[in-house]
Amino acid sequence: MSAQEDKLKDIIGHAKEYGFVFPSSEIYDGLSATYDYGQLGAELKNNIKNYWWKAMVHMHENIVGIDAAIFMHPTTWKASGHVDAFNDPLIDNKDSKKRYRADVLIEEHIEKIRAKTKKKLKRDAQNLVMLLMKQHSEILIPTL
Amino acid sequence: MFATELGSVSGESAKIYLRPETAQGIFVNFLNVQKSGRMKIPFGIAQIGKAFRNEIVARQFIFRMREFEQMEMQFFVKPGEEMKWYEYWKNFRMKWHQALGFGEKNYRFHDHIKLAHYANAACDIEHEFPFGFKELEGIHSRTDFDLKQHEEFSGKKLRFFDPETNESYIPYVVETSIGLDRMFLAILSQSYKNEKLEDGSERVVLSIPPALAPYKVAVMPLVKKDGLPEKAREIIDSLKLDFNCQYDEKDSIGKRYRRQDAIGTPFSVTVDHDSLTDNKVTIRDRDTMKQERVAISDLHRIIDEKVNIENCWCDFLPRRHGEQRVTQRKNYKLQNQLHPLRDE
Repeated sequence: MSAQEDKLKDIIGHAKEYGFVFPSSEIYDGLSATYDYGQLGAELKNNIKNYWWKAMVHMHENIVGIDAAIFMHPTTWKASGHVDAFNDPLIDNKDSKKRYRADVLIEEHIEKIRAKTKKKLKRDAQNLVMLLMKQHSEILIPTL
Repeated sequence: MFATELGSVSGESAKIYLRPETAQGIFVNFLNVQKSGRMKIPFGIAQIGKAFRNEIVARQFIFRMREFEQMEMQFFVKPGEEMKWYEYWKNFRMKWHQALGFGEKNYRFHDHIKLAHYANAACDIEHEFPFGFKELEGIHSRTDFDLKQHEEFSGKKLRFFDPETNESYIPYVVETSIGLDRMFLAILSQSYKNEKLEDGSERVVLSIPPALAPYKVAVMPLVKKDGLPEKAREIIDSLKLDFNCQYDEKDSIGKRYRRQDAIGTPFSVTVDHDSLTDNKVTIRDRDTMKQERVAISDLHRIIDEKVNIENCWCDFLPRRHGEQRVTQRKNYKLQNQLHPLRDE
Protein backbone atom coordinates (compact mmCIF):
# COMPACT_ATOMS: atom_id res chain seq x y z
CA MET A 1 0.00 0.00 0.00
CA SER A 2 2.73 2.45 0.91
CA ALA A 3 4.59 1.72 -2.34
CA GLN A 4 1.40 2.68 -4.17
CA GLU A 5 1.07 5.86 -2.14
CA ASP A 6 4.68 6.66 -2.94
CA LYS A 7 4.03 6.19 -6.63
CA LEU A 8 1.07 8.58 -6.53
CA LYS A 9 3.20 11.07 -4.61
CA ASP A 10 5.96 10.78 -7.22
CA ILE A 11 3.47 11.36 -10.02
CA ILE A 12 1.96 14.41 -8.30
CA GLY A 13 5.45 15.83 -7.76
CA HIS A 14 6.50 15.14 -11.32
CA ALA A 15 3.27 16.66 -12.69
CA LYS A 16 3.96 19.84 -10.76
CA GLU A 17 7.68 20.04 -11.51
CA TYR A 18 7.22 19.85 -15.28
CA GLY A 19 4.03 21.88 -15.68
CA PHE A 20 1.32 19.23 -16.07
CA VAL A 21 -0.80 19.86 -12.98
CA PHE A 22 -0.51 22.56 -10.29
CA PRO A 23 -2.45 22.87 -7.04
CA SER A 24 -5.08 25.57 -7.57
CA SER A 25 -4.33 29.08 -6.26
CA GLU A 26 -1.13 27.81 -4.70
CA ILE A 27 0.10 31.26 -3.60
CA TYR A 28 -2.85 31.26 -1.18
CA ASP A 29 -1.93 27.74 0.02
CA GLY A 30 -4.23 26.08 -2.51
CA LEU A 31 -7.87 25.09 -2.45
CA SER A 32 -8.65 21.53 -1.41
CA ALA A 33 -9.22 19.02 -4.22
CA THR A 34 -8.87 21.70 -6.89
CA TYR A 35 -6.11 21.66 -9.48
CA ASP A 36 -4.99 23.67 -12.47
CA TYR A 37 -3.65 22.13 -15.66
CA GLY A 38 -0.32 23.69 -16.58
CA GLN A 39 1.25 24.30 -19.96
CA LEU A 40 1.96 20.63 -20.69
CA GLY A 41 -1.19 19.40 -18.95
CA ALA A 42 -3.37 21.56 -21.17
CA GLU A 43 -1.70 20.08 -24.26
CA LEU A 44 -2.09 16.50 -23.04
CA LYS A 45 -5.70 17.12 -22.06
CA ASN A 46 -6.50 18.61 -25.48
CA ASN A 47 -4.90 15.61 -27.16
CA ILE A 48 -7.03 13.22 -25.09
CA LYS A 49 -10.16 15.17 -26.01
CA ASN A 50 -9.13 15.06 -29.65
CA TYR A 51 -8.55 11.28 -29.54
CA TRP A 52 -12.01 10.82 -28.03
CA TRP A 53 -13.77 13.29 -30.34
CA LYS A 54 -12.20 11.80 -33.45
CA ALA A 55 -13.00 8.21 -32.47
CA MET A 56 -16.56 8.99 -31.34
CA VAL A 57 -17.76 11.83 -33.58
CA HIS A 58 -15.64 12.03 -36.73
CA MET A 59 -15.31 8.29 -37.25
CA HIS A 60 -19.03 7.66 -36.80
CA GLU A 61 -21.29 9.08 -39.49
CA ASN A 62 -24.29 9.01 -37.22
CA ILE A 63 -22.79 10.83 -34.23
CA VAL A 64 -22.57 14.61 -33.94
CA GLY A 65 -21.09 16.77 -31.20
CA ILE A 66 -22.53 19.74 -29.34
CA ASP A 67 -21.36 22.13 -26.64
CA ALA A 68 -24.18 23.01 -24.28
CA ALA A 69 -24.13 25.65 -21.54
CA ILE A 70 -23.23 24.79 -17.96
CA PHE A 71 -26.29 26.69 -16.71
CA MET A 72 -29.65 25.13 -17.50
CA HIS A 73 -33.26 25.95 -16.71
CA PRO A 74 -33.78 24.89 -13.07
CA THR A 75 -36.67 22.60 -14.03
CA THR A 76 -34.13 20.46 -15.91
CA TRP A 77 -32.84 19.23 -12.58
CA LYS A 78 -36.31 18.42 -11.33
CA ALA A 79 -36.91 16.31 -14.43
CA SER A 80 -33.52 14.60 -14.14
CA GLY A 81 -34.18 13.82 -10.49
CA HIS A 82 -31.21 15.77 -9.17
CA VAL A 83 -33.45 18.18 -7.23
CA ASP A 84 -36.09 16.82 -4.83
CA ALA A 85 -35.91 13.20 -5.88
CA PHE A 86 -32.52 11.62 -5.33
CA ASN A 87 -30.65 14.32 -3.56
CA ASP A 88 -28.49 12.57 -0.98
CA PRO A 89 -29.82 13.62 2.42
CA LEU A 90 -26.96 14.94 4.55
CA ILE A 91 -26.59 15.05 8.31
CA ASP A 92 -24.12 17.28 10.17
CA ASN A 93 -22.60 16.29 13.46
CA LYS A 94 -22.22 19.68 15.12
CA ASP A 95 -19.75 18.43 17.72
CA SER A 96 -17.28 16.75 15.39
CA LYS A 97 -18.08 19.07 12.45
CA LYS A 98 -18.30 15.99 10.27
CA ARG A 99 -20.90 15.53 7.55
CA TYR A 100 -22.56 12.19 6.81
CA ARG A 101 -24.95 10.83 4.22
CA ALA A 102 -28.10 9.84 6.09
CA ASP A 103 -28.85 6.89 3.82
CA VAL A 104 -25.33 5.51 4.34
CA LEU A 105 -25.66 5.89 8.12
CA ILE A 106 -28.97 4.01 8.09
CA GLU A 107 -27.59 1.27 5.85
CA GLU A 108 -24.55 0.84 8.09
CA HIS A 109 -26.76 0.65 11.14
CA ILE A 110 -28.99 -1.97 9.54
CA GLU A 111 -25.88 -3.94 8.65
CA LYS A 112 -24.74 -3.76 12.29
CA ILE A 113 -28.10 -5.02 13.56
CA ARG A 114 -28.07 -7.74 10.95
CA ALA A 115 -24.59 -8.88 12.00
CA LYS A 116 -25.62 -8.84 15.65
CA THR A 117 -28.75 -10.90 14.96
CA LYS A 118 -26.73 -13.34 12.92
CA LYS A 119 -24.27 -13.78 15.79
CA LYS A 120 -27.11 -14.26 18.23
CA LEU A 121 -28.80 -16.83 15.98
CA LYS A 122 -25.56 -18.72 15.67
CA ARG A 123 -25.10 -18.70 19.43
CA ASP A 124 -28.64 -19.93 19.99
CA ALA A 125 -28.15 -22.71 17.48
CA GLN A 126 -24.92 -23.76 19.13
CA ASN A 127 -26.56 -23.76 22.55
CA LEU A 128 -29.37 -25.87 21.19
CA VAL A 129 -26.90 -28.34 19.74
CA MET A 130 -25.05 -28.54 23.03
CA LEU A 131 -28.29 -29.15 24.84
CA LEU A 132 -29.32 -31.88 22.42
CA MET A 133 -25.91 -33.51 22.70
CA LYS A 134 -26.20 -33.55 26.47
CA GLN A 135 -29.66 -35.08 26.29
CA HIS A 136 -28.82 -37.63 23.59
CA SER A 137 -25.14 -38.22 24.10
CA GLU A 138 -25.39 -41.43 22.09
CA ILE A 139 -26.28 -39.52 18.88
CA LEU A 140 -23.45 -37.86 17.01
CA ILE A 141 -24.42 -34.39 15.98
CA PRO A 142 -22.08 -32.43 13.75
CA THR A 143 -20.98 -29.18 15.32
CA LEU A 144 -21.92 -25.96 13.58
CA MET B 1 -25.34 20.37 -6.48
CA PHE B 2 -23.61 23.73 -6.54
CA ALA B 3 -26.10 26.57 -6.66
CA THR B 4 -25.77 30.26 -7.31
CA GLU B 5 -28.12 33.12 -8.09
CA LEU B 6 -29.06 34.46 -11.46
CA GLY B 7 -28.79 38.22 -11.97
CA SER B 8 -29.34 40.61 -9.11
CA VAL B 9 -32.56 39.20 -7.72
CA SER B 10 -32.01 36.93 -4.77
CA GLY B 11 -34.38 34.32 -3.48
CA GLU B 12 -35.53 30.85 -4.41
CA SER B 13 -36.86 31.82 -7.84
CA ALA B 14 -33.48 33.06 -9.08
CA LYS B 15 -31.58 29.96 -7.89
CA ILE B 16 -29.57 28.34 -10.62
CA TYR B 17 -27.26 25.30 -10.60
CA LEU B 18 -23.90 24.40 -12.02
CA ARG B 19 -24.67 21.21 -13.97
CA PRO B 20 -23.74 17.99 -12.14
CA GLU B 21 -23.55 16.09 -15.45
CA THR B 22 -23.31 17.07 -19.10
CA ALA B 23 -25.91 14.50 -20.19
CA GLN B 24 -28.94 16.74 -19.59
CA GLY B 25 -27.64 19.31 -22.08
CA ILE B 26 -27.86 16.57 -24.67
CA PHE B 27 -31.32 15.33 -23.68
CA VAL B 28 -32.93 18.77 -23.82
CA ASN B 29 -31.38 19.31 -27.26
CA PHE B 30 -32.39 15.89 -28.58
CA LEU B 31 -35.08 17.24 -30.89
CA ASN B 32 -33.08 20.32 -31.97
CA VAL B 33 -30.21 18.16 -33.14
CA GLN B 34 -32.42 15.46 -34.66
CA LYS B 35 -34.43 17.97 -36.71
CA SER B 36 -31.65 20.41 -37.70
CA GLY B 37 -29.20 17.60 -38.48
CA ARG B 38 -31.86 15.40 -40.14
CA MET B 39 -30.66 12.54 -37.95
CA LYS B 40 -32.17 9.11 -38.22
CA ILE B 41 -32.27 6.63 -35.38
CA PRO B 42 -29.91 5.14 -34.35
CA PHE B 43 -27.77 8.24 -33.81
CA GLY B 44 -25.64 9.79 -31.12
CA ILE B 45 -24.87 13.19 -29.63
CA ALA B 46 -21.47 13.72 -28.04
CA GLN B 47 -20.20 16.41 -25.76
CA ILE B 48 -17.12 17.36 -23.75
CA GLY B 49 -17.60 19.76 -20.89
CA LYS B 50 -17.22 20.68 -17.25
CA ALA B 51 -19.55 19.45 -14.55
CA PHE B 52 -19.65 20.16 -10.82
CA ARG B 53 -20.47 18.02 -7.81
CA ASN B 54 -20.19 19.05 -4.20
CA GLU B 55 -18.40 15.87 -3.14
CA ILE B 56 -18.14 15.35 0.59
CA VAL B 57 -14.89 13.53 0.23
CA ALA B 58 -12.84 14.81 -2.69
CA ARG B 59 -9.38 13.30 -2.92
CA GLN B 60 -6.79 11.22 -4.71
CA PHE B 61 -5.28 14.03 -6.73
CA ILE B 62 -7.33 14.76 -9.86
CA PHE B 63 -9.30 11.50 -9.53
CA ARG B 64 -12.22 13.03 -7.61
CA MET B 65 -12.63 16.78 -7.87
CA ARG B 66 -15.61 19.03 -7.32
CA GLU B 67 -15.03 20.63 -10.68
CA PHE B 68 -14.34 18.06 -13.37
CA GLU B 69 -14.67 17.41 -17.07
CA GLN B 70 -16.74 14.72 -18.75
CA MET B 71 -16.72 13.25 -22.23
CA GLU B 72 -20.18 11.85 -22.82
CA MET B 73 -22.11 10.39 -25.70
CA GLN B 74 -25.80 9.62 -25.68
CA PHE B 75 -26.85 7.13 -28.34
CA PHE B 76 -30.56 7.12 -29.24
CA VAL B 77 -31.95 3.79 -30.33
CA LYS B 78 -35.23 2.07 -31.06
CA PRO B 79 -36.79 0.55 -27.91
CA GLY B 80 -35.92 -3.14 -27.79
CA GLU B 81 -32.57 -2.66 -29.54
CA GLU B 82 -30.83 -1.11 -26.54
CA MET B 83 -29.06 -4.26 -25.39
CA LYS B 84 -27.45 -4.78 -28.80
CA TRP B 85 -26.10 -1.23 -28.69
CA TYR B 86 -25.12 -1.53 -25.04
CA GLU B 87 -22.91 -4.47 -26.01
CA TYR B 88 -21.57 -2.58 -29.02
CA TRP B 89 -20.53 0.44 -26.96
CA LYS B 90 -19.09 -1.69 -24.15
CA ASN B 91 -16.89 -3.38 -26.70
CA PHE B 92 -15.99 -0.21 -28.59
CA ARG B 93 -15.09 1.79 -25.51
CA MET B 94 -12.91 -0.99 -24.13
CA LYS B 95 -11.02 -1.12 -27.43
CA TRP B 96 -10.58 2.65 -27.39
CA HIS B 97 -8.80 2.31 -24.06
CA GLN B 98 -6.74 -0.73 -24.95
CA ALA B 99 -5.61 0.84 -28.22
CA LEU B 100 -3.38 3.14 -26.18
CA GLY B 101 -1.16 0.13 -25.55
CA PHE B 102 -0.93 0.17 -21.76
CA GLY B 103 -1.82 -3.51 -21.60
CA GLU B 104 -5.15 -5.29 -21.34
CA LYS B 105 -4.60 -6.35 -17.75
CA ASN B 106 -4.98 -2.75 -16.60
CA TYR B 107 -8.63 -2.61 -17.60
CA ARG B 108 -11.67 -4.59 -16.53
CA PHE B 109 -15.44 -4.43 -16.68
CA HIS B 110 -17.44 -4.09 -13.52
CA ASP B 111 -21.12 -4.88 -14.08
CA HIS B 112 -23.52 -3.03 -11.81
CA ILE B 113 -25.68 -5.38 -9.80
CA LYS B 114 -27.56 -2.59 -8.06
CA LEU B 115 -28.91 -0.48 -10.92
CA ALA B 116 -29.85 3.18 -10.72
CA HIS B 117 -33.57 3.78 -11.08
CA TYR B 118 -33.19 4.93 -14.70
CA ALA B 119 -31.04 2.06 -15.98
CA ASN B 120 -31.76 -1.44 -17.22
CA ALA B 121 -28.09 -2.33 -17.65
CA ALA B 122 -24.90 -0.61 -16.55
CA CYS B 123 -21.20 -1.28 -16.18
CA ASP B 124 -17.96 0.52 -15.48
CA ILE B 125 -14.67 0.23 -17.23
CA GLU B 126 -12.24 0.11 -14.36
CA HIS B 127 -8.59 0.99 -14.65
CA GLU B 128 -5.74 0.09 -12.37
CA PHE B 129 -4.68 3.42 -10.86
CA PRO B 130 -1.78 3.69 -8.38
CA PHE B 131 -4.45 3.29 -5.66
CA GLY B 132 -6.08 0.23 -7.21
CA PHE B 133 -8.81 -0.58 -9.73
CA LYS B 134 -11.23 2.34 -9.93
CA GLU B 135 -13.98 3.53 -12.24
CA LEU B 136 -12.72 5.33 -15.33
CA GLU B 137 -15.78 5.20 -17.55
CA GLY B 138 -19.41 4.15 -17.32
CA ILE B 139 -21.63 2.62 -19.97
CA HIS B 140 -25.32 2.79 -19.12
CA SER B 141 -28.50 1.71 -20.80
CA ARG B 142 -30.76 4.52 -19.53
CA THR B 143 -34.02 3.38 -21.18
CA ASP B 144 -36.41 6.21 -22.08
CA PHE B 145 -36.27 7.61 -18.55
CA ASP B 146 -34.64 10.97 -19.33
CA LEU B 147 -36.63 11.90 -22.43
CA LYS B 148 -39.86 10.77 -20.75
CA GLN B 149 -39.11 12.92 -17.72
CA HIS B 150 -38.39 15.96 -19.89
CA GLU B 151 -41.61 15.37 -21.82
CA GLU B 152 -43.51 15.38 -18.56
CA PHE B 153 -41.85 18.46 -17.05
CA SER B 154 -41.67 20.55 -20.23
CA GLY B 155 -44.97 19.52 -21.74
CA LYS B 156 -43.22 19.15 -25.11
CA LYS B 157 -43.16 15.96 -27.13
CA LEU B 158 -39.66 14.50 -27.44
CA ARG B 159 -40.29 11.75 -29.96
CA PHE B 160 -38.79 10.39 -33.11
CA PHE B 161 -41.03 9.82 -36.09
CA ASP B 162 -39.93 6.76 -37.99
CA PRO B 163 -40.83 7.36 -41.67
CA GLU B 164 -40.45 3.66 -42.49
CA THR B 165 -42.98 2.36 -40.01
CA ASN B 166 -45.01 5.59 -39.74
CA GLU B 167 -44.91 5.54 -35.96
CA SER B 168 -43.35 7.85 -33.44
CA TYR B 169 -41.75 6.78 -30.22
CA ILE B 170 -39.54 7.95 -27.37
CA PRO B 171 -36.09 6.52 -28.14
CA TYR B 172 -34.06 4.52 -25.64
CA VAL B 173 -30.64 5.82 -24.68
CA VAL B 174 -27.31 4.04 -24.32
CA GLU B 175 -24.72 6.32 -22.81
CA THR B 176 -20.94 6.27 -22.56
CA SER B 177 -19.52 8.64 -19.97
CA ILE B 178 -15.83 9.03 -19.20
CA GLY B 179 -14.07 11.34 -16.77
CA LEU B 180 -11.48 13.36 -18.67
CA ASP B 181 -9.45 14.13 -15.54
CA ARG B 182 -9.43 10.43 -14.64
CA MET B 183 -8.30 9.58 -18.15
CA PHE B 184 -5.53 12.14 -17.75
CA LEU B 185 -4.45 10.55 -14.46
CA ALA B 186 -4.61 7.07 -16.00
CA ILE B 187 -2.27 8.10 -18.82
CA LEU B 188 0.08 9.96 -16.52
CA SER B 189 0.37 7.12 -14.03
CA GLN B 190 0.74 4.41 -16.71
CA SER B 191 3.39 6.44 -18.53
CA TYR B 192 5.51 7.41 -15.53
CA LYS B 193 8.56 5.20 -15.27
CA ASN B 194 11.77 5.31 -13.33
CA GLU B 195 14.18 3.32 -15.47
CA LYS B 196 17.61 1.89 -14.61
CA LEU B 197 19.87 2.21 -17.63
CA GLU B 198 22.66 -0.13 -18.71
CA ASP B 199 25.37 2.27 -17.58
CA GLY B 200 23.88 2.26 -14.08
CA SER B 201 22.31 5.68 -14.28
CA GLU B 202 18.59 6.33 -13.94
CA ARG B 203 16.10 8.22 -16.02
CA VAL B 204 12.51 9.29 -15.47
CA VAL B 205 10.53 8.84 -18.64
CA LEU B 206 6.90 9.51 -19.50
CA SER B 207 6.10 6.98 -22.19
CA ILE B 208 2.93 8.77 -23.21
CA PRO B 209 1.39 7.31 -26.39
CA PRO B 210 3.04 9.50 -29.08
CA ALA B 211 -0.29 10.69 -30.48
CA LEU B 212 -1.14 12.18 -27.06
CA ALA B 213 2.27 13.60 -26.09
CA PRO B 214 2.28 17.37 -25.40
CA TYR B 215 5.32 17.97 -27.63
CA LYS B 216 5.98 15.69 -30.59
CA VAL B 217 9.53 16.78 -31.20
CA ALA B 218 12.25 18.86 -29.56
CA VAL B 219 14.77 20.50 -31.85
CA MET B 220 18.11 21.44 -30.29
CA PRO B 221 21.28 22.99 -31.63
CA LEU B 222 24.41 21.23 -30.36
CA VAL B 223 25.90 24.62 -29.43
CA LYS B 224 24.45 28.11 -29.12
CA LYS B 225 26.56 29.55 -31.96
CA ASP B 226 27.93 29.04 -35.50
CA GLY B 227 24.47 29.37 -37.07
CA LEU B 228 23.17 26.16 -35.43
CA PRO B 229 20.31 27.90 -33.54
CA GLU B 230 19.16 29.47 -36.81
CA LYS B 231 19.22 26.09 -38.55
CA ALA B 232 17.24 24.56 -35.66
CA ARG B 233 14.60 27.29 -35.89
CA GLU B 234 14.36 26.75 -39.62
CA ILE B 235 13.55 23.07 -38.98
CA ILE B 236 10.96 24.01 -36.37
CA ASP B 237 9.31 26.40 -38.83
CA SER B 238 8.95 23.58 -41.33
CA LEU B 239 7.31 21.29 -38.74
CA LYS B 240 5.31 23.46 -36.36
CA LEU B 241 2.14 23.67 -38.42
CA ASP B 242 1.65 19.91 -38.05
CA PHE B 243 3.48 19.07 -34.82
CA ASN B 244 3.88 20.84 -31.52
CA CYS B 245 7.64 21.51 -31.37
CA GLN B 246 9.93 22.67 -28.61
CA TYR B 247 13.20 24.56 -29.05
CA ASP B 248 15.84 23.94 -26.41
CA GLU B 249 19.45 25.18 -26.30
CA LYS B 250 20.08 25.21 -22.56
CA ASP B 251 22.43 22.72 -20.82
CA SER B 252 24.28 19.75 -22.28
CA ILE B 253 22.65 17.53 -24.90
CA GLY B 254 22.44 14.68 -22.38
CA LYS B 255 20.52 16.86 -19.92
CA ARG B 256 18.26 18.11 -22.67
CA TYR B 257 17.43 14.51 -23.66
CA ARG B 258 16.57 13.68 -20.03
CA ARG B 259 14.28 16.68 -19.87
CA GLN B 260 12.42 15.62 -23.02
CA ASP B 261 12.13 12.05 -21.60
CA ALA B 262 10.61 13.49 -18.45
CA ILE B 263 7.90 15.34 -20.37
CA GLY B 264 7.23 12.50 -22.80
CA THR B 265 8.45 14.01 -26.09
CA PRO B 266 8.69 11.08 -28.57
CA PHE B 267 11.53 12.60 -30.65
CA SER B 268 14.55 14.80 -30.08
CA VAL B 269 16.39 16.22 -33.08
CA THR B 270 19.94 17.53 -32.72
CA VAL B 271 21.46 19.98 -35.16
CA ASP B 272 25.28 19.87 -35.38
CA HIS B 273 27.94 21.52 -37.55
CA ASP B 274 27.65 18.90 -40.28
CA SER B 275 23.93 19.64 -40.54
CA LEU B 276 24.78 22.98 -42.13
CA THR B 277 26.41 21.27 -45.10
CA ASP B 278 24.81 17.80 -45.43
CA ASN B 279 21.30 18.79 -44.30
CA LYS B 280 21.14 15.81 -41.98
CA VAL B 281 20.34 15.69 -38.28
CA THR B 282 20.42 13.17 -35.45
CA ILE B 283 16.99 11.97 -34.36
CA ARG B 284 16.62 10.21 -31.03
CA ASP B 285 13.74 7.98 -30.02
CA ARG B 286 12.36 8.52 -26.49
CA ASP B 287 11.57 4.86 -25.83
CA THR B 288 14.55 3.04 -27.37
CA MET B 289 16.99 5.97 -26.87
CA LYS B 290 18.43 4.92 -30.24
CA GLN B 291 19.89 7.69 -32.40
CA GLU B 292 19.86 7.83 -36.14
CA ARG B 293 21.23 10.24 -38.72
CA VAL B 294 18.47 11.25 -41.15
CA ALA B 295 17.85 13.86 -43.84
CA ILE B 296 15.99 16.97 -42.65
CA SER B 297 13.56 16.45 -45.52
CA ASP B 298 12.57 13.05 -44.03
CA LEU B 299 11.76 14.41 -40.56
CA HIS B 300 8.13 15.18 -41.31
CA ARG B 301 7.41 11.65 -42.52
CA ILE B 302 9.31 9.95 -39.67
CA ILE B 303 7.53 11.97 -37.01
CA ASP B 304 4.12 11.64 -38.63
CA GLU B 305 4.40 7.85 -38.83
CA LYS B 306 4.82 7.65 -35.08
CA VAL B 307 2.61 10.40 -33.70
CA ASN B 308 -0.37 10.16 -36.03
CA ILE B 309 -3.54 9.52 -34.10
CA GLU B 310 -4.37 6.79 -36.61
CA ASN B 311 -1.80 4.65 -34.83
CA CYS B 312 -4.08 4.43 -31.84
CA TRP B 313 -7.03 2.99 -33.66
CA CYS B 314 -5.44 1.21 -36.57
CA ASP B 315 -7.30 -1.98 -35.78
CA PHE B 316 -10.74 -0.76 -34.85
CA LEU B 317 -11.46 2.15 -37.15
CA PRO B 318 -10.88 2.79 -40.86
CA ARG B 319 -7.45 3.95 -41.99
CA ARG B 320 -6.14 6.33 -44.59
CA HIS B 321 -3.25 4.28 -45.82
CA GLY B 322 -4.71 0.82 -45.82
CA GLU B 323 -3.08 -2.26 -44.42
CA GLN B 324 0.60 -1.51 -44.89
CA ARG B 325 0.66 0.91 -41.95
CA VAL B 326 -0.74 -1.73 -39.66
CA THR B 327 2.20 -4.06 -39.95
CA GLN B 328 4.45 -1.45 -38.36
CA ARG B 329 2.25 -1.14 -35.34
CA LYS B 330 2.49 -4.44 -33.54
CA ASN B 331 2.25 -2.67 -30.19
CA TYR B 332 -1.18 -1.45 -30.96
CA LYS B 333 -2.47 -4.69 -32.39
CA LEU B 334 -5.84 -5.59 -31.02
CA GLN B 335 -7.28 -9.03 -30.89
CA ASN B 336 -10.67 -8.59 -32.43
CA GLN B 337 -11.64 -6.62 -35.45
CA LEU B 338 -14.53 -4.31 -34.75
CA HIS B 339 -16.45 -2.85 -37.60
CA PRO B 340 -17.51 0.77 -37.69
CA LEU B 341 -21.12 1.65 -37.15
CA ARG B 342 -22.12 2.00 -40.76
CA ASP B 343 -21.56 -1.71 -41.32
CA GLU B 344 -24.27 -2.56 -38.82
